[in-house]
Amino acid sequence: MRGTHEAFSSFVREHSPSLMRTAYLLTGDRGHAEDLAQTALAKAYGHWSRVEAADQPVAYVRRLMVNAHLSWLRRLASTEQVVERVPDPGTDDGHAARALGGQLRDALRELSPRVRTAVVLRFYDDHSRAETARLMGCSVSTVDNHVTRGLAALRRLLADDPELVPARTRTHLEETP
Amino acid sequence: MNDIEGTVRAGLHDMADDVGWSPLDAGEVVSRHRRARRARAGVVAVVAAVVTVVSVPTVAGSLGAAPTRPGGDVATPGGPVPDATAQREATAQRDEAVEVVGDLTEAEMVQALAEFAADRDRQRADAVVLGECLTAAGWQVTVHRNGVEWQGTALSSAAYEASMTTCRAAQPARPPLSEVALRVVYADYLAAHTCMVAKGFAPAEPLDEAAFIASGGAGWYPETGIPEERAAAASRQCPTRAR
Repeated sequence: MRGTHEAFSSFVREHSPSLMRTAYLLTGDRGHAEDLAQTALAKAYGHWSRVEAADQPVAYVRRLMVNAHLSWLRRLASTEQVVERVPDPGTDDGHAARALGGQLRDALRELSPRVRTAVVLRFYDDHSRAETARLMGCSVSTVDNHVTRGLAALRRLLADDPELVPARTRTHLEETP
Repeated sequence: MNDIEGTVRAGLHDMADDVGWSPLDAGEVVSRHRRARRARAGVVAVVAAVVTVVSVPTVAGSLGAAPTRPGGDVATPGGPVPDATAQREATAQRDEAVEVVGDLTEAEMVQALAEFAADRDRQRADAVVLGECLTAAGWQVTVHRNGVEWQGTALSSAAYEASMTTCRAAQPARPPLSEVALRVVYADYLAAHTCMVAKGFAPAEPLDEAAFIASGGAGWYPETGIPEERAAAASRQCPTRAR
């Protein structure tokens, strides 16, 4: 048991910052990100032998985290209103000053949760289409659909502020009918 | 599209890196796990109460049709008439159940719920056949949702048990639950076991999940190890969805 606790503690030290970064992109809020990562790690602790036996323990925990995130959203949708946008965090986490990051955060907030999740998993965590589908519990074609919709929306939203969009992107947009 | 992909990729990294992230405290995570485990017993009980009165096919009777325990032939009568509110609550609670077994995908959970619903239907049909068999043997029994109830005396119980054994033997075997469904049952049993420990009972240590699944769900029950005279009280105080 002591060995388990030490192994788990080491895992948390090493990987929780990375998990929280992904969680932050999924939720758009630092507090929620910490909560989500902690939830996933707590679940992982309950199945630690299975986590350790996995080919990629971090990927296993990341999957728990995505499941927990989407599960929260489903629960909100069934008990309150359909939540299509994350709430405004209300506090400045210090990243607003970074032009692209800040602009992107606002744009991400405009995406539906599943579309945002697909975009984050594909372009931040660099998961393949198949892996993203597995993490989200849906088909590859659904992931493709989410990503296409997400990128189209982000392209539109980011293009609204030409100062923040790289020239190459703007040129590409202008050429697109 | 590649340009926007690059922009999004760079923006996501900027955004994520712009906040300082210190490692979480493993001790706090473990405490959270233990709190959640204690709370599951309550969640599981609520799920059982709600989903068994709902008429949605994939939800109705879910988690109420785990492998029947030895002697588990008596059940309480059905609940109130389902309504829209109950259905909404059941949907919400089903999502709680997904949380309980968080490493299952939604598709796997739906599969498990469908299995439980089908198994529940078979259990009800079996109860009717069992009731008819016992009635034919001369016993007055009442058929409930998933079993039969008999109000007898100690003097006649041995003969009743003999008839019960004969009638059970004549019933077709129910197909086994899948591994996914058994994992849900295991989580349900584990929650009940935790509840029993919290209430001062002393059940045996839970069977390992893999061994439980290998046994087809019959190798361990939450009340295993509790003396017979206290087992019923433990089960009443910490019910599972198998009852």
